[in-house]
Amino acid sequence: MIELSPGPVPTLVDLRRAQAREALLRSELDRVRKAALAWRSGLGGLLVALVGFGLIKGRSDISGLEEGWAVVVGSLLGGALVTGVWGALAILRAAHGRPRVAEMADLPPLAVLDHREALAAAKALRAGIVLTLGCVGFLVAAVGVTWYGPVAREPALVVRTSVGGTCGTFVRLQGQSIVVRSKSGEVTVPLSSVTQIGGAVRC
Amino acid sequence: MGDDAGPVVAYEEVTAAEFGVRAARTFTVEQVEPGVLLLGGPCPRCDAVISIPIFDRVFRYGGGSAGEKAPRYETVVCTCDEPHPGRPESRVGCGAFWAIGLREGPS
Repeated sequence: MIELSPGPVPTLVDLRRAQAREALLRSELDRVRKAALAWRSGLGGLLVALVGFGLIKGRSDISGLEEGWAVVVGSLLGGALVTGVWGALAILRAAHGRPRVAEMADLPPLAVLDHREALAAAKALRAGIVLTLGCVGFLVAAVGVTWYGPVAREPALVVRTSVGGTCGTFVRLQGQSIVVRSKSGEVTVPLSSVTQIGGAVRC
Repeated sequence: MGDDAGPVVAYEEVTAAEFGVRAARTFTVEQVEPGVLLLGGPCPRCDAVISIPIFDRVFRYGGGSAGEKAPRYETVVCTCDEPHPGRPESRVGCGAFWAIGLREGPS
């Protein structure tokens, strides 16, 4: 329980401080809403700029990446989606509030409600900023890996003859022969000597 | 924040020891939730009933800590919405201000 007692006579400095605090509280919710709108616009602009950055074309298809790296890009894009949606919702919550129905009996005075909402909005805004920047980070990483990740190797061709085998990539058919590029260079194998042709992930 | 009209007095930034004494006697205080106190009672100058929330924390754009340790004495200004001639646009209330002591008593 809190007890009240008369205080000392305040000075004009105390008055100005109390007036400033009162004005700060009175405008608190408006200020946090405006801050959220400004951040929403700024972060939206950042994402648009990022899309523009993506127009400077590098590789744009993850099917050209080695399988493991394609999974990495997929995970990064998944992370970008989750943080982007979560961040956008948090910033929208900060800017516009959360629709909610409350019991009348539980409602505190408006000033307390506004203050409570302002603190919740500020918390949502901070989370939204971090999450949206996280989304940007994930997107940049995904684009970077797509551009500079290792290229998927072509499947290898294994040509077997009665005297041995050659592993490499298919080059062309030449007359009655097949030409395969192996580590030691192009090898021409007469089709008449081939006993088996098969595929392999790598030689 | 006030909802009862008192006698019409001109806006004047004024205080007196008697304001604090009267407010300590007539005001009530309620802890709405942790960090939020609600003072309520008649303004000792204009008699409009006002309620004054006292918070530990406030949002401040630009970072930094806005919180102060709860002072032993809180300076309170009248925040009524009643008309008081001569009140500047940026101000509220009748201009009265006083200090009130808040002390944790036995529950």
